[in-house]
Amino acid sequence: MSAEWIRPRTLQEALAIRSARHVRPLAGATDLYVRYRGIAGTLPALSEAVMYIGHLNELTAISVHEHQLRIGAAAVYTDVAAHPATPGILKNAIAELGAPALRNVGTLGGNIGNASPAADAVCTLYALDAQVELASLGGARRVPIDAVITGPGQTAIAEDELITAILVPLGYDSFSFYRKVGTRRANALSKLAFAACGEVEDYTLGHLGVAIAAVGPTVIRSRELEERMRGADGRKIANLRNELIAGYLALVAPISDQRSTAQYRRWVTENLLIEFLDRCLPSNLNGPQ
Amino acid sequence: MRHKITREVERVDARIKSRGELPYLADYEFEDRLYARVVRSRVARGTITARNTPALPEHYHYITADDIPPEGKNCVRMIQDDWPAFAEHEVRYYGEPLGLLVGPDRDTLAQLVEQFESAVEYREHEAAVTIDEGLALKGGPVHGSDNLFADLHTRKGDPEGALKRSARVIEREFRTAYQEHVYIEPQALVGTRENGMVTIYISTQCPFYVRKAVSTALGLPPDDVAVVQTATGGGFGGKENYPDVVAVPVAIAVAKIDRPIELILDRMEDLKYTSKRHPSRVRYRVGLDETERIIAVDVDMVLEAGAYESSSRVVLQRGMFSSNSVYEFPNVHVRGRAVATNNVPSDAFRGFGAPQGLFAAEMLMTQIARVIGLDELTLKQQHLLKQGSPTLTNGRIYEEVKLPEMLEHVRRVSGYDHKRAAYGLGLGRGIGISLFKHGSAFTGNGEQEIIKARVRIRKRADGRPELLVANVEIGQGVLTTFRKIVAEVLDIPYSEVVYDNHNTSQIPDSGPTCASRSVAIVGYLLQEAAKKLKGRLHEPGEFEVEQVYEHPAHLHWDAESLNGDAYPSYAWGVNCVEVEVDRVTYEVNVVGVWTAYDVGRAIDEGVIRGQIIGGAIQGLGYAGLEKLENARGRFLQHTMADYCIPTSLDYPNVDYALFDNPYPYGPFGAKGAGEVVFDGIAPAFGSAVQQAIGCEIAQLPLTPEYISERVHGTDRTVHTQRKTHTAEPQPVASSP
Ligand SMILES: Cc1cc2nc3c(=O)[nH]c(=O)nc-3n(C[C@H](O)[C@H](O)[C@H](O)COP(=O)(O)OP(=O)(O)OC[C@H]3O[C@@H](n4cnc5c(N)ncnc54)[C@H](O)[C@@H]3O)c2cc1C
Repeated sequence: MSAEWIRPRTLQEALAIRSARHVRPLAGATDLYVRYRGIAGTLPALSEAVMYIGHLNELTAISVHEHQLRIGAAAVYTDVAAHPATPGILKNAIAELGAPALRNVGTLGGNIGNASPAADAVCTLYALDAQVELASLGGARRVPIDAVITGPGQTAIAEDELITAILVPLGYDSFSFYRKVGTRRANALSKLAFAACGEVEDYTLGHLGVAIAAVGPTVIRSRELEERMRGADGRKIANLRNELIAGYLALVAPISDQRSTAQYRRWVTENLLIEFLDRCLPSNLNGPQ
Repeated sequence: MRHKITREVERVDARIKSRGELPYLADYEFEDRLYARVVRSRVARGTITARNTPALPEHYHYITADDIPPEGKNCVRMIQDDWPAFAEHEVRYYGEPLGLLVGPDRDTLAQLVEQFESAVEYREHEAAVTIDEGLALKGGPVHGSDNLFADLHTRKGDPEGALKRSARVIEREFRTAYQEHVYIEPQALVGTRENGMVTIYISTQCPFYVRKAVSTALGLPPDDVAVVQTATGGGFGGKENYPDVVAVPVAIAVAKIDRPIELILDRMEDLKYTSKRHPSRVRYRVGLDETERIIAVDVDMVLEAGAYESSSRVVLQRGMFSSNSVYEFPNVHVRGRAVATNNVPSDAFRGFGAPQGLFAAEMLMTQIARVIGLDELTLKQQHLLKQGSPTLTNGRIYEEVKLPEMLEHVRRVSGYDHKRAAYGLGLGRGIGISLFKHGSAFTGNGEQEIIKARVRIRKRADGRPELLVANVEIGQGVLTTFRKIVAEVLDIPYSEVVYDNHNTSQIPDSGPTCASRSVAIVGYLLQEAAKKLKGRLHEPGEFEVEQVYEHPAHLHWDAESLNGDAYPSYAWGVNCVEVEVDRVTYEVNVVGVWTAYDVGRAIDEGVIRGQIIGGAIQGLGYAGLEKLENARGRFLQHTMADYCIPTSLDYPNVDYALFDNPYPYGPFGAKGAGEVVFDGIAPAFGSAVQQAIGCEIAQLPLTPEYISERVHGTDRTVHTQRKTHTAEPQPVASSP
């Protein structure tokens, strides 16, 4: 099948092409080539023009600016995990994402662009309060991750925009809790993933992010429930526990699919909440007992 | 002391395979080759009302049943002729072949398949896709009047009377699901005409099966078709009969178009449409006397056969004969049924019915032990078969049974006794042991009546012996073990032995590569043939020696009543699996696997080790990981991302020990080893999970989802109870 392949030399050129016509950005291709796959022995059945962006230096750099980590949208997972400033929870998520070969080509930009409700890296980006930098010829804007992903496979990225970077605030993870429930140990898509991290000061909870993937049309995060936990000490968390569990279970709407069942996802969500509220938070708020 | 032949040598295919240098079918070049794609039905059950065949571009062909020569037959001959090469009026399963598109460009073919498939109109009928629906004749019978391809009984003693006399009767039901082979190389062949003969190059376990199927469909004498086995990237039973299903349509096309035609299934196509392991439902009624000894066992086994018979009758027999595992019960009745449904026919898969029967039997024993308050292994040991014991088919165990010492060994190296006691019940940790056996070779009188294997060894002019046999390398090591057997007899290096002819026109039919029979049966014939050659390698010129299978005189079998010696010999095994069940996610972490086997005598320890590790990992996948669900005749997990086979991270190392027990009719004493290494892992895993979660389990696979349901069913938590098909769960027996 004849498909058009475009390889811009600079980000500027890529943005110019984006503004001029419809092209599909392609970074590691680990989602797109699955979607485009033809039968064995044929080339991917591309249904649209494709613009490769994985080689653009502007998109692969990783750097630290004040209290923020800036991860280029096309930086590969292996490089993200190797960077000294990358938060532990994101490293943990990457360590369990796919397998080494996949991590050598897959990108955070692709994980966001694909907008799967089961995306693992995206789940931790929710918990970390990450922002996404979207650029077009007209300039760049920064949008919170949960405002970029609007539904399964749906994003707020405009036709003329590219994701250029992911901005992760540093210091939001003095404690963290990450659990991926996959179909097997490696190269497994998630039945469910749970990411939580935050700060503890003076035995009370400061900033907090709790995100749950694959139990709804997008990653679930509740600022309202987090607000209730903010400032709480160990005793208050214990008092709020049942209310919080009920609050989260009211938000999740898991489905049954080829990977798992709605009931299982609900039970495990509840267990993970219990694990987080009864074990992880107290041990961080009260110190080791 | 280990016999010399057991000592590990370098496999003859080790280097070329690990370097990726061995060509598989997709690497072959054929001049003027065309490609083929199968046009398939898009309903599980229906009558074709209009084909609306679209126009073909130039140089493309559409082959259907109309292209079968008048002297041929629209069937894929296996045991029966019921499976058509191309459906004509009725379709019985989703994905059933309607025709074959042939042409030069694969992208164009992909588009044509889409057009052709969507053009067909059907009157759709209600499909029966599960065992229960098949038995209930949902939508009317798919096959005959009762949907049964086979309804068999075997009886020993007086089971009905003994059940009536019993002080206590325990009933249980177990279910197992599909398993997909996931051989690395998908189904692949090239059909062509060479020297005027239809010639099939194919990835297969059984070149003579392909020849039989192709010659029947084309109406040719078998000798007018040549089948050449190409390097085969795994089989596991999936390349026993299914290659016939792809070869026959291609052969029909070759006969008409007269060009080389390649058909290689795409991985997703292979996952969606090829045969799987038979799902099973096994029900037991077990009678115990006042002393809590088992005196009667009544078994009702049903296998889901799918739309056509394929090998279901024989798989069923092995399943039935495995349903008492390694125990002697005085009164036994086994009924076995193979039920038709609107799914792709189920077929051979490593173990061939035995894993289903053994899982049920071994789980049954653990659950009886709990009910009567006895330790699992104590109950099993009370009923263990020994040399001279009658089998459930009124045959005999002729060989020494080494299970007691094997069990002793596994208990010791695994720390079973201590762990079983220490882990308590329902506390997240568990350890389980299974005992089992696998009959080598074809069931009953199959070797004698059906196969009649024949091997030849040619002494070549250059003085080297050349093996002429139909058995093939599928990763299991025969290229090495056959050479070793002959070399050992002739006292020459194994590298001197030539074994590279896999063309049915030039080799005798020594039977298929399956049923753990290659080394046990064919290896023995080679050993005997080699004896005839001993001392003659220096004679001038070229000549051949031959050996034909003879059934050992002490064995008898009545195929009507299924009575007698079901197998000439057995391989025996003991498996131990230790697990931790995550209380948050219900995931099972396998902590340790310990195994012991009696395979007679290992022809090569390296080859056997490969079988043991591979069998254990594949068995653990079957036990806990590989979920294949079917909705309205379609498999839901049809990608490698959703049908999850284990990776090297999933399971720990597998410990093993071999117990020598030479078998007089095996080469250097060897028995079969290819399947026993798969058979026993699932029940050991099941027993361990039962201890860890504190309730009975009744199915495979034991997914975290299923375990969560069991746990919630017994927990006194707030969760709503969810009904499963099993009886009320009860705690398993406490540890000794
Ligand atoms: C074997 C396998 C295992 C996997 N395991 C996991 C796993 O464990 N967890 C998980 O979350 N995912 C997993 N995935 C999915 C996939 O690898 C990830 O989503 C990955 O992050 C995608 O990145 P990519 O660069 O390959 O994306 P691509 O395939 O290149 O692109 C994906 C989408 O994002 C868009 N896109 C990419 N970059 C940009 C950009 N800069 N701006 C705008 N749009 C953009 C593309 O247009 C496309 O729509 C797996 C995939 C495979 C094949």
